[in-house]
Amino acid sequence: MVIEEIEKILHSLKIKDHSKDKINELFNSLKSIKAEYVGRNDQDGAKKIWCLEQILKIQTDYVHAFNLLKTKKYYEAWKIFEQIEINLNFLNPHFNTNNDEYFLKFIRTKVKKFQSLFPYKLFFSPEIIEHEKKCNICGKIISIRNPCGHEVGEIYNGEMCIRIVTKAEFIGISLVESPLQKYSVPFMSDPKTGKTVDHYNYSLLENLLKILKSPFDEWDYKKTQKMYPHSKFKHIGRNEKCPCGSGKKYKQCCLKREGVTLPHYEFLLPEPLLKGRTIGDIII
Amino acid sequence: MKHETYKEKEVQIENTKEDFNYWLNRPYISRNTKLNLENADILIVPVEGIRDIEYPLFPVKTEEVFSYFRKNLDEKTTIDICIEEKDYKELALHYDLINIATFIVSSVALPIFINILSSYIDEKIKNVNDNDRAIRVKFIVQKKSGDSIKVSYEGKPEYFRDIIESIKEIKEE
Repeated sequence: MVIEEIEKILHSLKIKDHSKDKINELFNSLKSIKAEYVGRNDQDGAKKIWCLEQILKIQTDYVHAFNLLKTKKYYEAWKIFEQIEINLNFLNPHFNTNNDEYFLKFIRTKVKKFQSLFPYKLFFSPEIIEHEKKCNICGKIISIRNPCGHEVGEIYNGEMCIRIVTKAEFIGISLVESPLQKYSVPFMSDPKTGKTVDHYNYSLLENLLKILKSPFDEWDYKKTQKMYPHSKFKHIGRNEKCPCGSGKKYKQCCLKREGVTLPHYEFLLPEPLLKGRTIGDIII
Repeated sequence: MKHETYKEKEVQIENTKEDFNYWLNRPYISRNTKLNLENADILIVPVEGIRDIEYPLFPVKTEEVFSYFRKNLDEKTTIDICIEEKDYKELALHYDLINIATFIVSSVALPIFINILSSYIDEKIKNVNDNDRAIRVKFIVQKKSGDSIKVSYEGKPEYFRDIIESIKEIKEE
């Protein structure tokens, strides 16, 4: 397969209809073309293929994450969304991901939107002392005053330069709201079986995914505040935590007011998507 | 002491005794290294006393910052790092806050230091669409009089250049 054919596929969104085998074939074709460029020391050519590999990875991961959401494998989808973010950031210094060539801007925007609808609010964050690192391009141990010359994030022979931590010391773990690694979501475990229990409420995603047919459907949402009458919260005692999530007692918070204020999401969807479909809790 | 707080950005300026002399005489710096460091206009300095850790540490990606400065400084201005080669270690806290290394700068080198640091933030942080992540930067400026001030910025990277440009005036106060 030649580069032009692969570029055409990446421009056309056909990736969503391709089988796993077909996608592997695309990756293998890019790998072979890159090897040819590297063989004749064409660094620009090899870099261009690296960019196409990243774009192919981003598009296929996005489709994969969407399909995982459709099958309610929310945490699995969450991890893929994080990978997409990372790969977009790797790609950005070498290829403008802020225009819609190859739908990268669309994917970046939608990944952020999907992420914001997940119920995860607290994360584990490891604290690590990195004693020794090496360069993945030349294998040299990093010396602070005499570096190997390969810059992190640059592309050499069609590969991105990174540092591999070879000696490290784990010193602690914190609970944070804004982690660097988004995959470190805390889950409960069943005390009897020891198995992980996903205790999170994914209703926002569930409702949205009832409507969306394709990963490339257009959608948006508006977040507002809505007041609900106290009659809806009769099961919550005065001394229990307020249902608004403030952390205060109900009697010291919303019970003093007319009702309970909760975040309210209005999904904005183009009309053709809604024809003949059950909208459920989604407000248009 | 000056203290300004903005929405999404905060700058603190305070007097400090941590001048070049203080850093060159840290117990983990050998006599030979000290001789080399004495010529530097800008020094990257470690963080000491994190938790119960007895040795000094640098924030993750200090290697990248150091390399960026060495590549972009003019021939007259020199930068070094206040540590023995064998003792260099980075601390990765893995919060969504970009902690850039702490510097000490002579007032003569301050304008070029600010330009390069701002460009580093523009290129390496803003350019990768990490605008949601706040940055934390600290630098000490040693004035010609010998007095030193410590400038700390914490906030969105897009405000850094404008705010810190105004700091240039401080060196002459």
